[in-house]
Amino acid sequence: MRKIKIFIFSVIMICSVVYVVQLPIIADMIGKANNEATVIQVANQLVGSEYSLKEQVHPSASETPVWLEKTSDLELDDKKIAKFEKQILNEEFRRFETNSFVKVKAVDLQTNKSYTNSENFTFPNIDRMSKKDKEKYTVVKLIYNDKGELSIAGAYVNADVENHLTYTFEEERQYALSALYDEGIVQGITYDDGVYNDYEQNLIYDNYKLNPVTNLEITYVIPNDLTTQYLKGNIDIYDNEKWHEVGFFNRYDANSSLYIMAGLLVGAVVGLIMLMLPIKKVREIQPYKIITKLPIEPVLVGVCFIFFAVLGMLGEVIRSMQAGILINGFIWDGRILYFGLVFVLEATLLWLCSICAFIVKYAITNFKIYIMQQSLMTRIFKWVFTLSFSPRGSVAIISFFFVNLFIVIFGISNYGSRLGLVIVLYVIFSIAMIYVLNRASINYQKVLEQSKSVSEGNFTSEPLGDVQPFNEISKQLSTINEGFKFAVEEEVKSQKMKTELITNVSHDLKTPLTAIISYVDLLKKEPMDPTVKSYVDVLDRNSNRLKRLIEDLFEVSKADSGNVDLQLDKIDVVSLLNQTLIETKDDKNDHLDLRVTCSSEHIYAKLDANKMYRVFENLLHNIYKYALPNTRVYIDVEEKEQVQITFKNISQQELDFDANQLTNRFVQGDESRNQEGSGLGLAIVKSFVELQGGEINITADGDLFKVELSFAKF
Amino acid sequence: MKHTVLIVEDEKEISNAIAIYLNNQGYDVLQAENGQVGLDMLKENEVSLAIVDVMMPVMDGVTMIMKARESYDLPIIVLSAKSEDIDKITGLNIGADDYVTKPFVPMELIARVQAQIRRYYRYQKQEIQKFHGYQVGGLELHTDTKNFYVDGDLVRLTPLEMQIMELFMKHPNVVFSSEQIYESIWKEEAISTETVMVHIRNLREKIEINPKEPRYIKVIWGIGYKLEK
Repeated sequence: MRKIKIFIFSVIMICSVVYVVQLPIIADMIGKANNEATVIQVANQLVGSEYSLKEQVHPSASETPVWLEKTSDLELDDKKIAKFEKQILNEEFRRFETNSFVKVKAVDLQTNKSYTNSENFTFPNIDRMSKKDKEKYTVVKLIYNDKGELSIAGAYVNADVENHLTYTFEEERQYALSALYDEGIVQGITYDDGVYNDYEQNLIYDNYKLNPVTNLEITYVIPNDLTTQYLKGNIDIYDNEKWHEVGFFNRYDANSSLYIMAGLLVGAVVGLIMLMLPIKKVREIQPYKIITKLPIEPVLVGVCFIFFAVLGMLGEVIRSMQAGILINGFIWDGRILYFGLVFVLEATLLWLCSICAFIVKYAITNFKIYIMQQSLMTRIFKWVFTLSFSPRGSVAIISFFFVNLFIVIFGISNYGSRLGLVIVLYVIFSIAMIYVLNRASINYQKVLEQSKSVSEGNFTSEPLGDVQPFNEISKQLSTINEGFKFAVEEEVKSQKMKTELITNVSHDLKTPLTAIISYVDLLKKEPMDPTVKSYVDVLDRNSNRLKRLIEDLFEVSKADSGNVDLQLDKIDVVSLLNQTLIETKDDKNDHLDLRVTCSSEHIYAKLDANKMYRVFENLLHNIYKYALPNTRVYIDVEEKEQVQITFKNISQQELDFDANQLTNRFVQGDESRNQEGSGLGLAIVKSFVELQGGEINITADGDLFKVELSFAKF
Repeated sequence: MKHTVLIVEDEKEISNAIAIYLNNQGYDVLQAENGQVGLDMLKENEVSLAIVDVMMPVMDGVTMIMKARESYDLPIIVLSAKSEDIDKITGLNIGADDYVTKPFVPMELIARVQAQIRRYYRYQKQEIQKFHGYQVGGLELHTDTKNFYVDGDLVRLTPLEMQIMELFMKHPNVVFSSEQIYESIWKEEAISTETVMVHIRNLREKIEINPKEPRYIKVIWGIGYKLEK
């Protein structure tokens, strides 16, 4: 979770920086969105106005308009047309009289008579404009000579703009014709009949021609600061549709591709940064781990698709943002929304870049795995060209043959009449091959089962017989069987040898000891002086001790080597304990007070009676030997979830050692170890208890020495 | 009558030590270093008892005992370093009369030798003598005289011990729990079985040569006691 957070955070940070950097660029673009485009747009809008302006500065003498020329002999009501035309021209002209921020000045070149909608405004000289004016205004001058040819001058006017305008003005004239129609000129003609159809619309186009005005000079002055001027402005002039038609967005498109370039650049930078992340770090964070699990091709296609979609959306958003600011007034209210959208889209872009970067990263760090395993192409290639013997493999086999069949049919299609025969032969061949391969597939399963059973430790499986083409593998597997069998038998043998070794060593130790004990005993019977007798007593004591030691050692070695035959029976622990107490009575110190508590009269557990007797005997001997005289010894037998037997006594010596160490061999409570006893007592207890599936826990709490045994209930 | 004891033991020192003890007790001693020599000596001499080691070169003790049993009836005591129950059972099954594990306390071995000889020759002498009562191995309980003999020696038992012994001897090889023994002797429900255990322990002290390795009254741990035939 943490790494995802780190990642999202870093992406947002990068986006924010990019965003902040680009904000002024956008703002700048909006401010400057009025140069060539504005010229074209405004001038374009004003096509048609020229006729009104001409009428203003040089009114027609006759009722018939001079620029509307009849080209056929068709009978039409010229007077009526002229009347409507004039009416419309007046409406066009009225635009300039109202609140328009476009300042216009028209001069008739013949009469030098002029018209302007802003009497108090000083029109700048287009050839000698002051710097201040240039910043403030865009000025366009349209000049129609006496033949009606148009020439254009003004700031931001170049050859492209001029061509465009000239061409558009031609177009616009035709458009103006249809406008005449739309606005009632033709209707005026035909309304009486109540007929309205395409034929009549085409009448105008076919029978009239609109000639350009002549000898007119028009100067348009448009404030650069459209964004503020617009708010007071004239909707007609800044019609959205027109902006598009004129190609305002040619400018935008340039910006948009600039944006794409910028986007790619930023993406590349982000990608580079991501790539520069140390591989170690990447392995640690493992961002977008899921892409490593998807095939590389769809991921790349998907990422590219989203990338360019987002880029396109971004362009669209920026465009409508600019347009919106200019056209729909979304300057303050809409800006945040748009900017937010831009931000989100850019974040998406950068995110996609980082994904791409990591795809590259993963591909570089683990090229083989990623390309060989993640690539769809590789997978398909492998699938087609790998014959699998798995149960589903037959599908692959069959499809392989279908592919082959197709190729063969394709290849032999030129052989005409023999084609049928070849197909029949091929089908027979294919069926035979499918049979053979399917059999191989089934046999493969058999061998697989065999190897599975070997791996599970079953070494007794029989050789499989005929399993072509895996006979050799099957044979080797059964040889492994034999090898393992041999190894296991060896191990069993070595266990047996271990036991025999213990027995033999024990025998070899016992034989000389027997002699020692016998002769020491004989020696004791000889008359001797007290000094010698004391020496012989030492010999006697120690040879007897040695005897016990060897017996105990033999027992514990046997238990530890696991060569003990347990005879587990239902044993009454209470009765066994009582018997042991009676049997060991002689060894008991008279000053000890034994308190035996049993939770019930008979408590049964599954035990080996002889081993358990040894356990009790050893524990009791321990108590007799090490318990502090004149103290009580508590022995509790309880039946809970388990049978629990507890021996508690007060130690004679300080218990300043780890109690559990006592079960180690040759560890005795007294460091000096000069007491009798082998030191194996508790080791035997532990071995025997564990052999019988019980648990032993020895604790020393101050001077309280406690042994707890627990066994499963019968 | 002076008895002759054959010692078959490959360890010279041990063999000699046993011989010394037996001589001290007034027995004649023959010494063989393996089973083969032992068999030859059995053939050539009148032997009352044989002490046979198990692990020996040329012919081991087990083989020797099996061969000896084909033609001789004398008591045999096995001497072995193998102390496992299974070894003892094997030894007794092939025809030995007693089993002593190495390292042994010499006096115990001598006591066992004496017991075996006494018992064996007592039966030989009084083969047809009959008595009312029970007999298990070397144990005899005369119900009419209330006398109890171990290997021919009179052993004094208390009335309660006698009753327990009678119960055992009536049913040799049957395992009795302490409760069962208590209820059959005292004729009342067993509350504390400790008394029984103490009595049995005392009994063992009286009739066994080594109470820690009883020949007759065996403890079946966690279950009870039985008299082994």
